Amino acid sequence: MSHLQKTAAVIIEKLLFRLVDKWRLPCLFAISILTLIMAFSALQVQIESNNASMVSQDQELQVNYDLFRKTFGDDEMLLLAITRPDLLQAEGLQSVDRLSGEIAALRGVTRVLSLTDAKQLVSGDYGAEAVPLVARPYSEHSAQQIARDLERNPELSQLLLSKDRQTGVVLIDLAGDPVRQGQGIAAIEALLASRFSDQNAHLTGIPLLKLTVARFIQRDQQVIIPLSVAVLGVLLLLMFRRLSGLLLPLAAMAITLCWTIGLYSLCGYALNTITALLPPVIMVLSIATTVHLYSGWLQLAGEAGDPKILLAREMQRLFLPCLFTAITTALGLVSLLVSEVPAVQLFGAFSAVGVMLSFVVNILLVPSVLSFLPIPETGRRLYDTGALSNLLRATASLTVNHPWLVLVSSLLLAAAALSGLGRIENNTDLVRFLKPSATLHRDTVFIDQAVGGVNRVEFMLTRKDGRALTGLEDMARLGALHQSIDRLQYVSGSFSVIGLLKQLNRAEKKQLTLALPDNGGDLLNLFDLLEAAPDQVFLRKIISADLSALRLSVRTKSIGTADTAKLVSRIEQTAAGQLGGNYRLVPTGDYYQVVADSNRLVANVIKSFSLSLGTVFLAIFLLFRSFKLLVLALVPNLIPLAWTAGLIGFLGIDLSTGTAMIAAVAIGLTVDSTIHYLSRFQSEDRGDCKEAVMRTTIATGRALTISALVLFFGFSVGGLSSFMPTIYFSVLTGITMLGALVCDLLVLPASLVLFDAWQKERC
Amino acid sequence: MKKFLVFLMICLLLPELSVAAQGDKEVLIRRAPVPADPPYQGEVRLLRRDSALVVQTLLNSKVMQRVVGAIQKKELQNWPQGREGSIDSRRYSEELVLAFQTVRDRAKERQKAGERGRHLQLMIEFVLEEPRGYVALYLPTLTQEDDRLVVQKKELLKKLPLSRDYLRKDMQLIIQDSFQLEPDKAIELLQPMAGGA
Repeated sequence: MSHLQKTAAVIIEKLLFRLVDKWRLPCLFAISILTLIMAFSALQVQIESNNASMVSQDQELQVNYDLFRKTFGDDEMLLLAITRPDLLQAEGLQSVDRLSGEIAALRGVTRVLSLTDAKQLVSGDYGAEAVPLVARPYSEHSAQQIARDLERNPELSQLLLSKDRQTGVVLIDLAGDPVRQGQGIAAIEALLASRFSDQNAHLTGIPLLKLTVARFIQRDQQVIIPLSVAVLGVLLLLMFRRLSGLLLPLAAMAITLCWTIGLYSLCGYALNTITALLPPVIMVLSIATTVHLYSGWLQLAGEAGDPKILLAREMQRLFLPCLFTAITTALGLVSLLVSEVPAVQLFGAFSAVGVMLSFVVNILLVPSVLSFLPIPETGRRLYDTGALSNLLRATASLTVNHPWLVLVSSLLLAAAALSGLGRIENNTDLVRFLKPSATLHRDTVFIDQAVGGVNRVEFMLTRKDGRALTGLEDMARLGALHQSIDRLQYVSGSFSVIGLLKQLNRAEKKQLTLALPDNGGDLLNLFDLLEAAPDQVFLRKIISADLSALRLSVRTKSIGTADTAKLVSRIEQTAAGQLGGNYRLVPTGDYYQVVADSNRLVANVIKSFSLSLGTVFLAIFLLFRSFKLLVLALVPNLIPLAWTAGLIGFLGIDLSTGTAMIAAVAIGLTVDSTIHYLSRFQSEDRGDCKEAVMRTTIATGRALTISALVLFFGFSVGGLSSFMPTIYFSVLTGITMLGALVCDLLVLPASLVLFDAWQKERC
Repeated sequence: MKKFLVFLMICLLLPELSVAAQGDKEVLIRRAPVPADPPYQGEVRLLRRDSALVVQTLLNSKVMQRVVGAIQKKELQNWPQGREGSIDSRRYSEELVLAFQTVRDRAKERQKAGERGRHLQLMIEFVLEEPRGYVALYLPTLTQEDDRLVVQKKELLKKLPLSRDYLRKDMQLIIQDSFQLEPDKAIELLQPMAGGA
């Protein structure tokens, strides 16, 4: 130990002695007051209602999307599918008509389009006239007429009717204001619940997804936090079998949680899908520190001397390992700041703050409270006997006697796991973020299968010279592009002003087929008619007021972002060929932003993991000042990550916002056990490495096992979340913690033994 | 000689002065863009010009054919065959189509000469005065100033004398429709001034 370290240890011990001797009451009072204030703030925390933080702040994407929304308005709508065998008969149509009328009258709903609201363009005395697609009254005789009209208008049929003609789609535009949007959705849900069974009515759409996510976050907070407390409480009781061993960690956990969430709320942030994980993660991380401090106190059993001095000395011994484990965990979490998704950045920043606050709370609270208790009498006995102690002895013995076997088998297992890495695919599917049992998930899958797609990738088409897109050549090229896009896999239809122009031309010219005019003058007349049409709100959704920007919507089947990204790339390539160099086609829209973010996940994972790895191991080096220990610490920390990565690949779990966080977070956590182990090993190593390993494994093994089990079970509670990324993150991080425990108790000691033998051979 | 020249000048200026004087006496009672919701294709004005009551329709539209078609459709609905005034309505409709064709032909000539813009302009006046009434169709030059159209100049294409009953009823229907008024309110607006129409 260096002189500086010795001086620091003396100062820390003195401060800790003062804390347990004189400052404990003022300290506990100050903690209580601060906790009350922060608890009040934590209770005020809001829940994000628009999912905005799940989308990256990429400047170019944002500029394009802002321009798109400024030009064409919001691209958010609800899709309601009504299924009945007599849909196109009088009774079915009356039902749809009544329903769409009632929905249109609801507060928060701005526009409704259904089979009975839709209009088709027909030839009138003075040119094209808009008439209802389905004429009233809906007599039985009109069924054939309806079928003919639907065949004449394939785009409308595709949009509003399933192929078997038993499911009708109602498109519902909602007000932009989130509050009114929420009111509108709630009213629609109530209306549907009173009118239809689950099998007959299915509702989906981005606004509903956002509302569902907000509802699930609220539900998760109400379920997961109490459940975490219960699971951790049971675990603590089982492990320590003492009331103080239950209450002290729970108190430290509650205080840390109040401080962190209170601070989050004070900073003006609302909980989102990812930061909803903050409470369970902070609870688990906080308990891990308390477990080490409390275990240290238990080991004082039987020691003679002033209890306060003994306590201060033990706390001092654990101070640096606990501080460094807090720092390494925080560094792992801070590395998430390189993500471009604000929700992930917030999670990284505040969980790191939570970890550091947890250290402060634990180092003040645990000694202060324990100073009121007598030194335990049974602690050491508990440590020396029992199944766990026997298991730890056997483990230590295995690592000392068969280090090669341990190391080689772990590395082989890691190599086998790494072969699963290639199977991991970038994929984010907002709807499949929800469990398959969730109503929205079921409804979305149903609508997707019935009408051939619920996702829309939007494109904005402009001329590079800024001129209006009203020329014959513009439309000819766009028409050719539509044909090419419609032939692509996963595309269920593409829509733009061209469909409307064809209808208008057919009605104006009294033709039978849908086609564009063959001369520029006629085409300009069609645009003039569009400009003079009464429903300008609808037209602004597909073409800009100055006719210089067109919206091209591509409806795709419910595929994940991986396939959508490939599809967008193919469309861009096709467009480059079909449109030539005079046009600009920009992919945009709410859904495309998610696709683009998902594409960058791998790069983000590599960046955050590298940063995490670098900073965590720098911290280890600063703590131990030994390259030997640094190199030896690498092996048991990278192996569990390789195992988890392999598991992700073999189980076919996609790399999404949730799973992408595992590596960076886990490295900061797995290294904690290594730090505790190496710290103890340094103090036990008096020349005989094997003996030091035996003593270290037996002495720290229990605390390491308890904290790993706390982390495993604590994270596993997140498996009850409503969101699949949260479930994957929680369960896989928990599994990684178990893997890390195995490596810290087997691979690390084996590596220490082998390295020592190698050093002795060299000498 | 000098007196003769002065007399000649007065004779030449008289019609212009008369128009100017007439313009000064034109009082705008009410105006509204048409149709009621955008995109607007023109505006309808109710005017008093001396003792005459005028319903003036200024049209400035890229879809003039459709606008003229809509007017014809309304005329047909309001004046079905056999109803008193239907013959006047037919005559008006026919003259309106001819006026539109003239407007369109002139626009094509202007476009050939290099003028840009696809708007066509037409002005229709229903004039009710003692003891007669007529419909006048003009080819105007309109400019947009703020939210209103301003007549810069106009060329008379046709002046069509029609029965006062037809004119009064049609004017009522036009202002009823354009100003979104109940029939009794529209009739009230068309009440003759003392000594006027």
